[in-house]
Parts: sequence; C-alpha cells; structure tokens
Amino acid sequence: MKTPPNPSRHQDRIFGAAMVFLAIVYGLIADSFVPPIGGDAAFGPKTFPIIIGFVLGFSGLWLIIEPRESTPLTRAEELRAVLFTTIMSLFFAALLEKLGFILSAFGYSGFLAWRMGAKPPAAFLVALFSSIVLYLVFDRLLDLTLPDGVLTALP
Amino acid sequence: MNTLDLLLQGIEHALGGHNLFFAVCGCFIGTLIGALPGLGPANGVAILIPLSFSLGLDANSALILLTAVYAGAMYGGRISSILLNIPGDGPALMTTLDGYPMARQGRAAEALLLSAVASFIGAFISLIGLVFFAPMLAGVALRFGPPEYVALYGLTFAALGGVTGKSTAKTLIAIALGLLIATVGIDRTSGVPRYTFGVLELYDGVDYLIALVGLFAIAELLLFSETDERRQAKPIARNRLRIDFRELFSTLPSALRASLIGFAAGVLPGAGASLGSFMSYTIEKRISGRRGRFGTGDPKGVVAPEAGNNAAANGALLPMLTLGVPGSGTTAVLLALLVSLNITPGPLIFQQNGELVFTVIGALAIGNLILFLMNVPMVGVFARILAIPPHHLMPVVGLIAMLGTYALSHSITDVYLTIAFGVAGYFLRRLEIPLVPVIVAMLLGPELEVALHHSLALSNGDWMILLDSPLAISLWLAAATVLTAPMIFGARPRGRIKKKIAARESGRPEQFGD
Repeated sequence: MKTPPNPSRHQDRIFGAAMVFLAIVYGLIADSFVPPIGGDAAFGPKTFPIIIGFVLGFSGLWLIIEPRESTPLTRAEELRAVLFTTIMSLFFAALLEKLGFILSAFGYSGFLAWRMGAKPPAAFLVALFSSIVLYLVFDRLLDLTLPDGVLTALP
Repeated sequence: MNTLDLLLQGIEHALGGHNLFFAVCGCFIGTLIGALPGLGPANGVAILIPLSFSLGLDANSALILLTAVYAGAMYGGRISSILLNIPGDGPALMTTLDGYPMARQGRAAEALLLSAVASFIGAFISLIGLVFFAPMLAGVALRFGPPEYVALYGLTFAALGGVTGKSTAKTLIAIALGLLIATVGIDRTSGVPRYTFGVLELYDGVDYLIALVGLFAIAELLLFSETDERRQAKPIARNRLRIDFRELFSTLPSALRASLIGFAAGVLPGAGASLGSFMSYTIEKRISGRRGRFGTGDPKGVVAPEAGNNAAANGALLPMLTLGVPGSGTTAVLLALLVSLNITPGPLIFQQNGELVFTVIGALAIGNLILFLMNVPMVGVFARILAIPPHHLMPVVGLIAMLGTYALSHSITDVYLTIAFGVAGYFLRRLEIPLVPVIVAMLLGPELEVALHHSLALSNGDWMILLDSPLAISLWLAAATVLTAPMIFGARPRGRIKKKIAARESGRPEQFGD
C-alpha cells in the first residue's frame, strides 16, 4: 500500500472560499425575486434564500479561518480511477436506451470489475451473468420494463 | 383507538397479504447489505427506495419492506465483524473486538449465535420502549404552532451536527447546501419560480430521491473504486455449533443492560447506533472488571455491543416517528421514504399517520422475529456471499442504483443527474463534509420555510415570535445544548471510535455508520 500524501489544510480553505462565492451569487440572485402583488411583505420569496446565503457564507468563512486537515485529492491514480467509474456510468446512461439494458450493463460491470482488480475473463463472465440475472429480475419478475435495445428479439 | 389496538393492527398489516413475503425479502436483503463491508444500512435503504416506488407498492408494503431492510442491516453487520474482522457497518465495529478473537479460537458459530440472540433481545426491548414512549412524545406534538416547528427544525439541524460533526462549520455548510438545493423550483409560499434559470424541468425542484441515491450509493461506488487496497479478507471457517446454554444464560444480564443503554443512546437526537454499541461495550467491560477477558474473545464483548446497537437502531426511530425529525443517517433515509409516501415530516406525523407508525413498529417486531429465525440456520449462506470479491459486487450495486432512478420516471436525464450527485458526493466526502445533513435539509427545507412564513404572518413580521412560547424557548435551548454538548463531553468516545476506525480503515471517514 502506498503512503497517502500528507494531510493538508489548503483544501478546506479553497472549499470554504468556494462556498463564500456560492453564497454571494446565490444571495444576489435571491435579491431579484419579486413577491407577487398582494403577497407577504414580511416574508417574501427572497427571505429564506437570503438567510441560507448568510448561513452558507458565514460557515464558509469559518472554514477558511479554521480549516481541518484532510487527505489531498491529488493522487493521479485515484482521480483516474474515479474518473473511469464516472465515465463508465455516463456511458451506461447514454447507451441504456440504445443498446438495451443487458448489453450496456454487461459492458459497465465488466469493465468496472476489471478496472477494480478482477481478472478479465472472470470480470466479463460475472458481468454477463449478473446483467442477465438483473434483467430477468427487474424486467420479468418485477415488471419494471427495462429497454431491450438491439436485443428486441428477446422472447 | 388505544395503543394496544394500534399495535395489533400494525402487526396484522405486517402479516397480511403479500406483506409477510416483503418482510422476509427485506430481512434477507437487509442482512446482505449489513454484512457486506462498505455498503452501510443508509446506502442500502437509499438504493431501495426508488425501486420500491417504481414497483408501485402501497404505503404499507413499502414501509414494511424497507423497515425489514433496516432491521436486517443492523443484524447483518456483525457477520463480517466476526468472520472477517471488518465491520459490515459502523455500529458493528465494537463487535470485531471480541467477535473476531472468538472466531479465531474456533468459536465462530457460538459468536454468531450469541450475537443473534443479543441482537434479538436488544431489538425487542427497544421495541417495547418504542410502543411505550411514542404516544407520550406524540402528545407533546399537539402543542406545536408554527414558531415551535421552526424551533424543532432548528433542534434537528443541531442534532445532525452531533451525529456527524467533527467540524461544526462543515455540518453548517452541509445543511446550507441541502437547503439551497431545496429552494430550487416554485416557491410554495408565493408561487414564484426560484433558481430555475428558465429550465422547465427545474420548476418541480430537484427530486430528493435522485440526490439520495447519488450522494449515498454512487458516491460510495466512486469511493470504492479509488481504493488501491484490493486485498480480499478470507472469512474464517465456522465450526460446528454446540449450544452452550450455560454460556447463553450467563450473558443474558449483559444483553439486558446493553439493550437499555442502547435504547437511551438511540433516542438521544444525534447519537445513533454507533454510540449505542460503543457505550454498551465500555460499560459492560467496566462492570466485569478484571474477571472479564474483554478484547480476547469474551462472549459478553460480543453480546453487549450487538444488543446495544440493535436497541439503539430502534430507539433512533422514536424521535423520527413521533416528531418527524431524524436522529441518524439511516433514519434520515427512512424519513425520505415517508416523505415520498406523501407524509409531511413534522410533529403531526404520529397524529395524522398513527396507523403507519404502528405498521413500522409491527414490521420491526415481525422483521426481528424473521431475522432471528433466518439468521441461525442461514448464517452459512451469508458467510459464503461474503466470500464473493467486492469488485464483482460493487458494479452491480452501481447498476441497481442507476436502475432505481431510471425506473422512477424512465428518464435518462435523471440518471445523469444521479451520477452528477454521486460525483459531488464523492468530493464532499473526501473533504469530510457530512452528507446526511444535506439530505435532511433537502427534506425539511420546504417545511421550515413554510413554518417561518406562517410564524411571521401570525406576528405581522415580528421575528421575536420565534421565541415567544416556553416550548419554543426550551426547544432552542435543547438545540444549543445538543450543539455544544459533543464539543464538551462527546469528544472522548467519538475520538476513540474514530481512532479505532482510523486504525482499521487508514483514515477514511466513516459516515453512514448508522
């Protein structure tokens, strides 16, 4: 196991600053909400968002002043792995209705399992098995109607 | 109708029609979720909510299914604690301390049996507590006006700081982010669209179920995919079971004590099952003093935390079911289920939906009975499933999570949104921003705004109305106490739990312990 990089406080400061920025933008947008005619003057549509904006801005500042240590998000291999999983999930979503559930689920879980450390033949065999089982359970047993995609000839 | 009738009716609901079948399924799935390291009860229930929805289950069946999953997850955590020395969920951490040594001494089967009995005792004692206290607490709810609602939501948010909080600033940020997401869409009090940027889909607001699945399940998958430890712990083979009744009876007092401690710890807002099992274990250790062999495979060291965490899990339902405010991660997820069943969270939950509340209690009773009967003979099945490497299981978890949100509306946009929430959740977790407050704030945000609006309408815009009644003032005082108490008293046990987790998980923050 590789040693993680030294914990740092910079992340919290950056995140705190981002939250302060978000709070300001959010609050400024809130200021433009106009209550409907005859609406409540004391508590309009902007009152609650402005309170939230203040809470967010205040706690963001607090985090800048008093940051905690956390493990930096800078390890390339970690970020690569997370990016890979994210992209695979996006692919799955994009292909779900085109290729159908079985094929896109097969690709998704096969590649993920392989990337997570399974041996390729095992990864794809298990993926094939699990995507068919999931299809049978959800589509046939539970009636959730998953897209068939290119496998429309399925009985 | 009196409590007993309601309770019997609740049990009847849980037994009637297909519901018994749902309870059995829920128990099985729940035990699996609890037993698999990494997939905590909150994550598991979160994945299943959209599914139970798209299956078109009625309110009772959905509640029964997911309550059974909740109970099952609490039961399952101990299996991997004992066999793998890896807690299946946060509360099961204490069980590893004596459970794994017992297993290594060739007494795994006894440890599993004793902990199953203890879990059962803990769950049942706290159920009695739940039936007894729920109507009492619910009576208070009738005195709630809008200002008191505001104070109660304030107390809830303060309590969340206690559950997750290392840094109050981070908890506050999490709450603010949740409230911020909740304001997207048409304002319920004025009808003005807010933060929609002209996108039609945003007028209805952001679906909290999508946020829930993304923040919990997808983020968990991403966290798993980054770990570079691929080692697979091998479960210890179980020996043949010899039931030693003398040992069983000798641990009974520990189980009873731990159940009471656990229930009390669970009821406290913001404590949860982890604290319940921690306190039961430490107190039991102190009681047995030098005679005990705690830490080296003492049966009492298995019994106490298991009775404690199951009792606490049920105890945590008390504030949720009577006042509509969750005290822990999993109860927050269960609250999401209630909201999606069109139940308004808040103090009237018990008054208006007493039947549903007792259905939950009935389901817990039946569920725990099923779990007990299921766990003793079937523990081998669960142990074998533990041997499946997680890299084959996690992709399936991801698939089921995305299918859940897809099935809600058959919209791919929702799946993309789920993934987006997942990525956000991953980064928030890496920055140690707790995610439970985000969800609770999303759920309670609209209610809080309406309550504020009504309060100020009552007072013609005078904000002092929020502090106008003794009840509101005492709720605010309780909030202040809950917020500051962990800083003063809680630091030690939490620090020690954290240290133990840190030692085991190399610093990964454990968030969805209970």
